[in-house]
Amino acid sequence: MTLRRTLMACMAALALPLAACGDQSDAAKKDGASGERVLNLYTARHYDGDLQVYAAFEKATGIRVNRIEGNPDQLIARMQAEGAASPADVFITADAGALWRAQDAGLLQPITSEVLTSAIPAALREPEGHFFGTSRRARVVAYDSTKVRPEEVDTYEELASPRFRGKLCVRSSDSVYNLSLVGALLEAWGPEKTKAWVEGVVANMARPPEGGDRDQIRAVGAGVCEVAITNSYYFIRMDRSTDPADVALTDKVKLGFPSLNGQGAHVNVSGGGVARNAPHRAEAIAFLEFLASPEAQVLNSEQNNEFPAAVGVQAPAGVREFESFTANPMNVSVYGRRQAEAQSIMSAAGWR
Amino acid sequence: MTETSTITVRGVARRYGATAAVQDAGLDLRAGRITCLLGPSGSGKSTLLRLIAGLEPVDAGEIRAGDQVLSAPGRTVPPEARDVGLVFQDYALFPHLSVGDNVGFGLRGLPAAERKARVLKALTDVRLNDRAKSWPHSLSGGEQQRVALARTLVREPHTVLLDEPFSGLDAHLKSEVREGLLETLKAAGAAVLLVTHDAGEALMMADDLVLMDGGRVIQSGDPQECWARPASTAAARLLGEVNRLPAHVAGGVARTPLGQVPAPGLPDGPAALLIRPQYLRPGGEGLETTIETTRFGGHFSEVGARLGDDRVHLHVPGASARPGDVVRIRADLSKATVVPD
Amino acid sequence: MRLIGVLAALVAVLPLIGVVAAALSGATADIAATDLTRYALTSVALAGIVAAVTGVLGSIAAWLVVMHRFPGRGAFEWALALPFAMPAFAVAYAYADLFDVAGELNSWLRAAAGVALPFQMRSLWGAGFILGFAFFPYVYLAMRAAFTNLPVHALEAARSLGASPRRAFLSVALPMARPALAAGVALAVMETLADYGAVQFLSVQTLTTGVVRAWFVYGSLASAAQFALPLLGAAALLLWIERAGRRRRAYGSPGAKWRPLPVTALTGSKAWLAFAYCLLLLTLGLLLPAGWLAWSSIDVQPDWPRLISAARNTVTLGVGGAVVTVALATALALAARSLPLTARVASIGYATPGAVMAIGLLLPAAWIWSVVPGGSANVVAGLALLLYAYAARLMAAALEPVDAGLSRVTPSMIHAARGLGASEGAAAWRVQLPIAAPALFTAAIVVLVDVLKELPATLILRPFNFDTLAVIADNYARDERLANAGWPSLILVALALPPVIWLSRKAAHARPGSE
Repeated sequence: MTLRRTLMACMAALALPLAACGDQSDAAKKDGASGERVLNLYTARHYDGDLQVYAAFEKATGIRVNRIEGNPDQLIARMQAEGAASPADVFITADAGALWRAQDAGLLQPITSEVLTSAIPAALREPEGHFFGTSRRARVVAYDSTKVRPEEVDTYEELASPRFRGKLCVRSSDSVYNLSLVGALLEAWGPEKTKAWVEGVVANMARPPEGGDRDQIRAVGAGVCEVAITNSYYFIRMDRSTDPADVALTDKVKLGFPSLNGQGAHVNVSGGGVARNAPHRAEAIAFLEFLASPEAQVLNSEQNNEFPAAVGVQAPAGVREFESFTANPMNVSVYGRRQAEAQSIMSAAGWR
Repeated sequence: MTETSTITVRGVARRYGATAAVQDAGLDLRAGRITCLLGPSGSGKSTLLRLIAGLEPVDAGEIRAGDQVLSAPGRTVPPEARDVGLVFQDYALFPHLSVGDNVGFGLRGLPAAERKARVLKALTDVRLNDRAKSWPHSLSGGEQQRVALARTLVREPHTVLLDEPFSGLDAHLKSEVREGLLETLKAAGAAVLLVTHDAGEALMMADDLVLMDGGRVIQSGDPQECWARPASTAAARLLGEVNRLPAHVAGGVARTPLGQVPAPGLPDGPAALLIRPQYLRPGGEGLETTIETTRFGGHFSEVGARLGDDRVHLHVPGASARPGDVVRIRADLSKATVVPD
Repeated sequence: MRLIGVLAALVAVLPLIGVVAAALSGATADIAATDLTRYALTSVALAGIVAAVTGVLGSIAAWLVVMHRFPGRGAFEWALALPFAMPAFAVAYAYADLFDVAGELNSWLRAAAGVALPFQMRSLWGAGFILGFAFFPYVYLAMRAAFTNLPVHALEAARSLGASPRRAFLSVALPMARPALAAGVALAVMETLADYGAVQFLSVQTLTTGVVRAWFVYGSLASAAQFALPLLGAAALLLWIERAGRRRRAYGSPGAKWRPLPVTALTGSKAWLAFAYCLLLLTLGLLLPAGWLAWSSIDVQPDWPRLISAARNTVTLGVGGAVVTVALATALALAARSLPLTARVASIGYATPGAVMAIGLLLPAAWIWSVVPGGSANVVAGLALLLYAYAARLMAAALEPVDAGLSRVTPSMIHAARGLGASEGAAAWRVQLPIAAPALFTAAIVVLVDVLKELPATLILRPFNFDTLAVIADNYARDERLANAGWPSLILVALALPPVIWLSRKAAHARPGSE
């Protein structure tokens, strides 16, 4: 290859990305100039179903949604690095603890919205309006119905009891869902009892933590353990699946809803808040309000098997069957505040 | 041929696809004697060396060491079992081993103390006893060659093969290295085969000379005899400049432009007279020639002259000859050879 | 020239400065020392397992392919490098799923035979196995080159000194190839330390876990950066080993005549054993994981428009990243003839764990975002930042071939050009670059393949509405939808295969004397 040809290839290669992205940068420029309204979304949710919710929002409001997906921590780090120049309008994540981290880092601003405060129950939003839960998931248990009776898993305490020594599956303490759960326990029980509970769980583990929630459920099916801690939607997804393996699995494995202090199961939320420096604040509020609308609530529940958060919205068939449990009324904004403490207790107890 | 040969090569051939690298080659290597294998590049001399080393199989013929057959078609004693040492043109020292470890490489199985002593002695023999801990790349070319030699000789092989041992050295080093090498090889007493393309080197070092061309051995024997009485034009040219003049043989006598020369055993018909420039001298009652070119070469000039229809080269003392001069020359026909055309 | 080189080095070093700056600022987190020790030991153990697996597998494969003749050798010669096209995270998805306790294989085994496989991929050993098979091509390629270029005379000398073929291999060929082995293993270990997707997916807790926990759970960037410093130190050490290995590769005698290697024809069971070994490597490194991904995704209807657009983005970034990285690496290599240290420092990004690199990249990113209009919503700036990130991360991968290519230009050639009236720049342009052009192209292909598989920098820095195949695969994997993650992974492999095949075939035929 001659130098000239190499160079020409280089030029062409350099021109490519610019050409390929021409349409996108055009869209970005229209912002303000042509009056097209846009919304910049930083989302740690990455479910295909979300794209349909965004499409519905664009259709309903005419506001174009730009999105960046990533894991919550990376998005938070990015927003921090962007500082005052951050284009982020709304930060969305699938865990109240992560939302709190964003709030704690000063990345969210409180908003007041009549629509949101009336649609979203007080327990599912941050009291000052920094963030709002827009869908619910319970962190509960999947159990082997041939070996475990439902009343054996109707409290969280029982998961740490000797009854399940070597029979419990749970994922790593890296999981933000586990951190939020233990954070909630800390809030309810205080450090002593929580510490004892964590130690009991570690003693009960059938194997060192590995895989995701779905892997824990499948491990119950495979007889590795009798009970697993999981988010509700993973189980419901399997329950609704027509895959023969999943059908066989959910014949045997059932979903149980333990109660915390007799007040119901630990509920986490997926939700969002308006970014501190949101360039499109009005659109951002409109977006959160749209997420709380019955249309988006049902669409999301249908797609992701989460429970609706808005008052008076019923889950679609398939999810509805699981919705009748009692949800703990603890405010979701406490989980995050307790996460560092939760992590320390779990690490000390040897929960990997 | 009263002494018994250490290595006997008979009728050996080696082909690479359609090309015959070596054909019908034969030679004898004797203990304590240096045999030089001389040939132009591509003549098959390196291949013959590799055949003797056992690095390649023979396609025909036989290589023996005493009574033991080393190589025959379908049967090759591996190089490690031949007791034949090999020194490569590039020395092939192991870069990851120190000089001492290089020399000790072939002494596996000996007790450590004995091994150490022999390495030290071998290195002393090549005057490198203080370099045992050095790395090969830190040595000069001549020193590297001496390490390679010590590494081979320390195993006391009955035969040592050297491939172009001086080609990697600077000109001013060669004579010094050559003297040292000769001394060491003589002291070792092994049969030595030295491959080279340098006629001067071969003539100077050889006890026995083997000339190769086109994959064949074209002459072998005493160096002086080979030089003075080449078996063919090609053999003559390998050893240096030679005049080739037309001859006609009739009844065992050749008629040539220089006069009549006995040609016993040659068939009647055209032939060629070979005579070295050194044996054509100006002066006296000789033949008349016209000088065409002169080249000053120190204590004599190389002169090209016309002799009738032919052109001859001769050496004229000093720088007296001038183009156009007419000079009479005398040929020492006792040093001339008639070969088939 | 010197100035451009310093600039190029600065570009690459900026993220590392970012890490150090972060380490010196802010509050530290209260992470238990026992946990840190455990993470560090796990990192060391994982690196050790990967080094052993890649070293043994790669060396044997190279030795078989270069020095022997057996059925399929010609195809294996280049095909054994193909696992390089398979991103480590995709290998991890496939194996974790295939050998999961509750996976199809084990379920079937339990039903059919009442037993389950006694091992687990989601473990230290599993991760070592997976990364070993993902990265052995580094050792294979390095050793293949070393054996191919082995001075044949050295082997023959060993034989004539009484060594059997086996001993000649063990005591001459292998030690002479040792620098290449060290270099190949160093690359594999660097990739292991830098890995982001696979180890995390397999829930093996390495120092990277510590970095992520400190940063996010405890909210201390300073602690995260402090845990990153030993990793940077390890990266620097590995680079030094790799460099030293390359320097000593200049072994051998320039005057030696090139001869074809003595190739042993294997027959009977030995031939089939060699065949089976090579096939096993290829199967475990590529065919089985790719096949399993394909099998699991067969029922999933892929979202074609999204995948196609992501594929286009991936290729665009790959080509752009290759061009930018090679251009910078060339400037660096040209300047490094006088500034060797800058080149070495600029290479550290290659062995830096993805999570650590993310910390460091945010420093220059924040600066760029603050000066361009629209901040990170500026697509051009966003893409430029990504290309920059690739350059910082992959500089070392480009530097090696570029450096090798430039070293074919002897000082006397440059002196000749200068003597004929060319300025320093003109000499570089008219003499050094044209001669090194094939090497630059090779470097570009290496970077291209690496960018295609790149995850952490893309994940954190990409502009709006911009997905790559690796990002989509990672999203699905996080959502525990492995069947969906199969498609983007497989398209990625399909994109990476042609350049890898080209690379491997080219290298296989490059022998001194055969040019």
